[in-house]
Amino acid sequence: MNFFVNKRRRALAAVAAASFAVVGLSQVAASAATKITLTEEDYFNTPGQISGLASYTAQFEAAHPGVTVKRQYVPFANLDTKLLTQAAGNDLPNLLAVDNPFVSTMISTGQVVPLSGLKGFSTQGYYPAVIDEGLSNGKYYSLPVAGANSIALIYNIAMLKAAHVSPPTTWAQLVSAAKALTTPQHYGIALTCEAAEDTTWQWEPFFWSNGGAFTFANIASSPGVQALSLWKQLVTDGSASKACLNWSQTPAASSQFIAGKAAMMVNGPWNFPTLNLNHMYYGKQFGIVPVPVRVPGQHVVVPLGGEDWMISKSGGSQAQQLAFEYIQGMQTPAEELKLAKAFGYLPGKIAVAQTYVKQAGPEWKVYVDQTIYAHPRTLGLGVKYPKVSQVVWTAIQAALSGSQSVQSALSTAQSQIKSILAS
Amino acid sequence: MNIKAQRAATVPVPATSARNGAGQLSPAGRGRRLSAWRRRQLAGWLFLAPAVAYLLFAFALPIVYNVMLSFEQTSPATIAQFTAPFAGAANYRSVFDDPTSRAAIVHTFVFTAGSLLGQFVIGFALALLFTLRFPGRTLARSLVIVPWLLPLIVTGVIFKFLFQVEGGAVNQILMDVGLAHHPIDWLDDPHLALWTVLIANIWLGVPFFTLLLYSALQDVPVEVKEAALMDGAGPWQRLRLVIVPIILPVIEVTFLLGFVFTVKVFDLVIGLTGGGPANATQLITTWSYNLSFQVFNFGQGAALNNVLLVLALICSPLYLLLSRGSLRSSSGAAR
Repeated sequence: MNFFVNKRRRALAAVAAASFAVVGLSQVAASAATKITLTEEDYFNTPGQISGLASYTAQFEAAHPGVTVKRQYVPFANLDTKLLTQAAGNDLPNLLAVDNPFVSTMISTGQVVPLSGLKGFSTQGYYPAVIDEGLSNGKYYSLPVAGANSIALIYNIAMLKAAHVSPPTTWAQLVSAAKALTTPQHYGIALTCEAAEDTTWQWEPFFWSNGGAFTFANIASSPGVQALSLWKQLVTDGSASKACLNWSQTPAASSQFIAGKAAMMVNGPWNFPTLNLNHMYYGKQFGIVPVPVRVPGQHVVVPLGGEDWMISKSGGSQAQQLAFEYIQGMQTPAEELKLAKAFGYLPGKIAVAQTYVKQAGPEWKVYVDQTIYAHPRTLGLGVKYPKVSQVVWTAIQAALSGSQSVQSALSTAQSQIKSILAS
Repeated sequence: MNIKAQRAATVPVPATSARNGAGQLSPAGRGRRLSAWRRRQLAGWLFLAPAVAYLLFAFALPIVYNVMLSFEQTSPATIAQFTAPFAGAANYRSVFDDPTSRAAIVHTFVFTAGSLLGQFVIGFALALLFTLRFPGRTLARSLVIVPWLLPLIVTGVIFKFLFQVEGGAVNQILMDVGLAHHPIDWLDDPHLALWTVLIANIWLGVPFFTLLLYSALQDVPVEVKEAALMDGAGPWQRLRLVIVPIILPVIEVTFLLGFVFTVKVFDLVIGLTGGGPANATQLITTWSYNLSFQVFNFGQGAALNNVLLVLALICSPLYLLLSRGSLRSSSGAAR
């Protein structure tokens, strides 16, 4: 039924778009190219993100007299649908900041322009994973908003000390540490296994670091079976709560950690402000190590999160070039540092990220170090990523809830993924 | 509403024209009268136009579009052009081949039937309770509608807390009372999760049944009940042979409306389980939302949603039939 509502909304949006188009034309005619308004949509809602973006916009507007950037906030859950609706009506905002798994979908609408065709575009200095998020058919369609983010193992220093365990670096250590850290008061680790993308994202470092294919095509062979058996063991040992089947990464799993109900969690740097707010500081109350690997010597391959700027076709070449200048202005080292700090992200360029660790603190080191091996989720999968991801999280849920064995859950998943990849 | 409006507009017209025909009028006068008749006809249609336009825009258009969509091969790439390549029955085929879609349809039936049964039994029991006089009756009656006032997503979150494995109130109580020896995985066990969602939905729907059935019980004539009492009917016989037959039309309509409310439940499931664990609680609504807006396969989402459309198409004539029947019987009771 809500589907109907959305269709209706689309019709409404089309009507609204038509009326706006009329208003827009008259404005352009009156102001004769001296004044231009760039529209922008994103889902940023933390105080740091809002003020960071606002101060950059003010700076940009001061440097470009006559140009106004009009921001519109859209809640995370609605942005993708809204952008697709707008794409259907050829009415996208000039600038759009989208979650990186959605970049491929936006490219496939044909309503966004390749940035690599615009004057002054360069891929130099970026982490490969950061810049490759927008790569499609040899063209680059996006640049990072405030850098990127990823996940690592965050642990409670006092609890590890009390249990006499050191931070785990291998799966075997993870299993024994989690067991030792489980007491009547708290679990060893808080996993995320809800029916959503963050479950796949949490499992990706375990699977990919263990030799799993980025397309998940070999999910039912040993890399996948071993990685899912690890999670299954954590649950059957009682070291991780089975309630994780309804836990999101943030805030559900993270609040378990903050409340002292879990000694470890796999999570990202966006938790730092909340941790600090709850009197947990790096080096005193919590520490960070990379996600453990099965055998020593394996690289930790983490998925990369964060948002990317894209530019739509609407508004013509002048607006597109101006929009690009807006984005490009954010890619200078000084702006990258400022924005990464405001957003709680890592800068997207290697050299800047190294400076950032020195400035922002050692809690960033693990995240910065592992970014060089990071992988953008949609690379190679494109618009198929959301479908594959759903199959993966369903298999994880099936195995952990006990409705299927690890092997049969993954075999089901693999055959589904094969047919998605072949389609 | 449409039918009523149409009847109001058209019914008087033949009546007046008939009177005109019978009147002693000159042929010239008759001609003028005829054009007046036409004008009135036109006015009728003009008055009707806003309603027709509204119905077309708000009901026909989305439904037609949804049906169209279900026969198209859609993707984010086709969304910018309003029409996508024709897909024939491919969307329907893949929906019915997909085990999750099939499970979602089965879950929807189980969920709907279970909800209606639970809501009716509890709702009717409460309605009967409220016909008795006891202290605090008014307060209890107003408390019963509380679940109705809560947004569904809030109910979802509340039940999530209640049914948590650890620290959830339900497990705590069951274990304190001794009914359970270890915490029950209400939401995390794929075999139990659908029942947990069902319990939450029964709780949500009870006020609706209680209110409607209670007001129907108020309308049962006292004389009839007293007569049954005089004839020596016991409480169970009075209920089964006297009260239920009298309020039967209301029960039927309540069931039908309850069916419509239940079959489209969405927020509650999203709030409680998000369709998990392992798709154990996917309903037609949640899975078609997922097909359309998580994996952007609008065609398949529309195809699955049309299963609901078919159910609605079966139900609305049934509703009209039943409500007309209940009207007739209530007017009969008045006579």
